[in-house]
Amino acid sequence: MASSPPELREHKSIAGFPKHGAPDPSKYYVDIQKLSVFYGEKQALFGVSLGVARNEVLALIGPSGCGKSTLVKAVNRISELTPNVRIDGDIRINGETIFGEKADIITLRQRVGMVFQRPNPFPKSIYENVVYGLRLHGVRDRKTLDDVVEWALRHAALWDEVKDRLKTSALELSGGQQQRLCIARAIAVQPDVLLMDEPCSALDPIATAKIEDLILELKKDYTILIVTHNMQQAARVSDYTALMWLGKLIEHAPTEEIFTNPKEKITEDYITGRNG
Amino acid sequence: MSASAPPLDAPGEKNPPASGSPSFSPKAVRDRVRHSTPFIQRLKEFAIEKLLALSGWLSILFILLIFVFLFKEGLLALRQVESLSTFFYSVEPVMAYDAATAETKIVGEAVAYKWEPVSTPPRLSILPLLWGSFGVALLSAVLSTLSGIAVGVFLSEMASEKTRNLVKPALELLVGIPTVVIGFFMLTVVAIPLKNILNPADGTSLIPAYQSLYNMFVGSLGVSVVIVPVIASLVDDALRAVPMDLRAASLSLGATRWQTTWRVVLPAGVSGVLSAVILGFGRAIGETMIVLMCAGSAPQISLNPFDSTRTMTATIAAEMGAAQQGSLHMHTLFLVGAILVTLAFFLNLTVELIANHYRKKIRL
Amino acid sequence: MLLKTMLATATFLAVALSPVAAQDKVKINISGSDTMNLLTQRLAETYSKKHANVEISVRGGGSGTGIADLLNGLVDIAQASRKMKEKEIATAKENGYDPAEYVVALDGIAIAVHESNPVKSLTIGQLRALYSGAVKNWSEIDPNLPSAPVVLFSRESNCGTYDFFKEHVMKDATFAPNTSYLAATAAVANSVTKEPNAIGFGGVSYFVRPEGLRVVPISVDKDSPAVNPIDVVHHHVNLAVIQDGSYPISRPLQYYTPEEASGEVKSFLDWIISDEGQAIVLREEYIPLGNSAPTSESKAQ
Ligand SMILES: Nc1ncnc2c1ncn2[C@@H]1O[C@H](COP(=O)(O)OP(=O)(O)OP(=O)(O)O)[C@@H](O)[C@H]1O
Ligand SMILES: [Mg+2]
Repeated sequence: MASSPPELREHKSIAGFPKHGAPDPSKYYVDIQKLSVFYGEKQALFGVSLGVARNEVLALIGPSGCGKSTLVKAVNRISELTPNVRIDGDIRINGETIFGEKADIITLRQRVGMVFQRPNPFPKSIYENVVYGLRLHGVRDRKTLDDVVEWALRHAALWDEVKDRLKTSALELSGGQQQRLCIARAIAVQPDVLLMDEPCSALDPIATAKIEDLILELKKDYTILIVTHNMQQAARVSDYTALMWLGKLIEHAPTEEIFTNPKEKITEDYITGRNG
Repeated sequence: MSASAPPLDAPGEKNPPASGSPSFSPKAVRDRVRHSTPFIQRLKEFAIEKLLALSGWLSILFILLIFVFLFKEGLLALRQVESLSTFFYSVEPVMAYDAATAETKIVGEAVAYKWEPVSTPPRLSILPLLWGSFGVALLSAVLSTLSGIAVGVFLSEMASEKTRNLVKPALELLVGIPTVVIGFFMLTVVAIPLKNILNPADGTSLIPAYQSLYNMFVGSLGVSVVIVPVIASLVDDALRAVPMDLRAASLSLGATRWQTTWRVVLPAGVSGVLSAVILGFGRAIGETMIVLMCAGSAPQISLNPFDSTRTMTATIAAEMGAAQQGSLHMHTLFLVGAILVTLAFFLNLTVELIANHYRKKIRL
Repeated sequence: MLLKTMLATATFLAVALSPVAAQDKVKINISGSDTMNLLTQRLAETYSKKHANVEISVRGGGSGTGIADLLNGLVDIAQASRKMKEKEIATAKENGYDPAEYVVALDGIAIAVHESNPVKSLTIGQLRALYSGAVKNWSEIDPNLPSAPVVLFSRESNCGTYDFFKEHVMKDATFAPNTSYLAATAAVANSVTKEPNAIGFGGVSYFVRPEGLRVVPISVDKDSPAVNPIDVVHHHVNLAVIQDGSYPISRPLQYYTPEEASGEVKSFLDWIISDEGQAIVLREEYIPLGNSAPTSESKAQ
């Protein structure tokens, strides 16, 4: 597969200071430190500390309602859209805090792409969906846009299905196709972290396999957090797996270890399907 | 929930609540659900359904009756005139003033567009009235569309929950103010200072064409006071119906709030926004009291928005009471009413078509 | 029509449902000219104070409305600041009525301009020039007047004042299209005080204490003397010039009844013509019928 179009991969500083002056990054590229999230009175996350190293895939597993989406949404600060949400703790990306006063939320979101639990394409054409992020940043050159559309759709395993109808509305796609379009849209802006909240929950096994291939492929360039309810998927694509339970982190270990030799009883029960 | 009360038809089963098994008998519930929808319940259902249908049909019938009545009465006007041109123009004497004798004499004839229903013969050109209605509506639309949309966007996209909870009821209150109050306010508080600012007596005029105290502009301004909140409220509703997911998607791609509003939310809510604008326009066409009070009531066709004007609605309101029953004047007023209703119908139809078109396109 | 039907129904219901106690009261319903409304109300108040068995209800709406109500049998008396038209009389006959006319007072139409307007007097011809749009600038009337566009105010077409003005001043001319039609004489007076270049007209009684405006003396033509309907020094109507008809735009105010009046209605009408009634007419700044009322005589016929 073609690698990413070159001119789009420069990384601006999130925290407002030049990258090279940044403090020494910890071993984690995305470093979540004692993160607590409250929805009004209700606490959804309890001091979760967790991280992903550069170019690795972290799978988040856990029963419904345990706070996986909440965690993921904090990383690109999209959770701030929810009214009355309050966040404690810190998240650092490449050593820079994303909550600092100088932190630039726009740059953060350019660098941390997200694929949502439910497909949410814009009511625009397929083409316009993919280039949306580029247009935001003033990319007008037709050739670049065309190239990015093809690159992103190929990577999202959608190109062959839609290449002849790029101008039709994205809403005419099936749910699974829409989700892959959302993936294409997210990777088109060349983020370096990708948050995927159950990206395959609406996909058939073939498309799922394609997305899994894609994740393994993207790993070369991206750092990925993926939420999944599918244990096999977690086992197949991730380097590390974290199990969450009622807003707390239970276990965080290399995937192989989690699936073959979990330390916690809860983990064992969960992955063997005895609970949750 | 006491464990001592055994379920009805499972006496043999042990049933402590702690074990998680149900404390009721599934079979009993099943029987209840399947076999005993009571007759009364069905009757109630039937009655409610029919009642709703009846009220629906009644309102349709009522509207139909209004249509039939207006057209029946209005079309009679067509029969009462020798030529339909009566409703468009008349040939009037041209008067000239002779300063020497201080007399005014007829010097010729010319086509004129006059609404002077109480004269012999009645002058019944509806053109100046149409002009007035559309002038006021268009000018109001110009004045209020942008601000209405802006307020709606602000409410839906920018305002905090607190601000919104303050502004939205205030807007609804504004919509609810009787228009006669707004008309009175424009008449007594706004009209004079406005003219003094835009065309002061000392000759430093911003707008020399601003000659009449009560004119289309003042009227439209008053109408805007009513329709800005209407448009704002509808736009707010339309934009809030745009799923939060879309905003999240846009923001997560590094868009600013404003970019999100402009590129995603507004296009997705465009049908609602357009409907709001057209409904605002319809409201402006139908507005009566404000224009009656402060637009000057002069039935003229003038391109100057600062000239007095007279709308169809104001004319009906001012003249219906005194028009003689069965007279051409009265039937012409009905004709004007029929035109208004037809306009309202087509405006609403347009709203419906637009909404449908986009609903299909966007599938929200 | 709908309105009328509703009114009729309402009136019917009001009559049908009125409490038993009111049954021995005689009710006199009056509607019509807005100009005459105040006068009729005062007359009615005083009269019913003295005659407890009579209840008089007075509604405005304009002379046209009053006459229409009369023809539809909705009222006992129509107050009109103009004579009934041929057409209306014909309709009345069709409806089985034979309306009788009672002149109760006189009125004049005052022509008012803004107080800053230096115009000394106007002829009927000049008025016609202004209102027909033949003259659009004050300076065309007289070079000494300001060079400013004329702003025209008229009453709505549903009132006697309008009819009277149209008949006596406009004649065969139509109003200039930029004429603003206002619903009440008070509105006209009010607007004239606010528009420096305005001219307006209305019942004389509204202009007895002109504030911010000036009543213009009017002459029949250039060679006749201009007459002011208001005594500007003493703030009352210049009775003499209206009673003798030397003020060109004056008119009788009259009541119409469906038939020759009888019973309580007749007593009421008789009382109005009496000295007591006419004193009220004067007090309300309308113009009492003099010994000789040429304007009313000449037109009543
Ligand atoms: N907007 C909100 N307001 C209030 N509570 C919320 C909100 N969103 C989530 N929660 C609560 O926070 C907790 C965590 O929710 P979250 O969506 O993160 O769960 P999840 O692990 O993603 O579940 P799923 O696997 O079903 O997607 C839940 O108890 C949920 O009810
Ligand atoms: Mg979730």
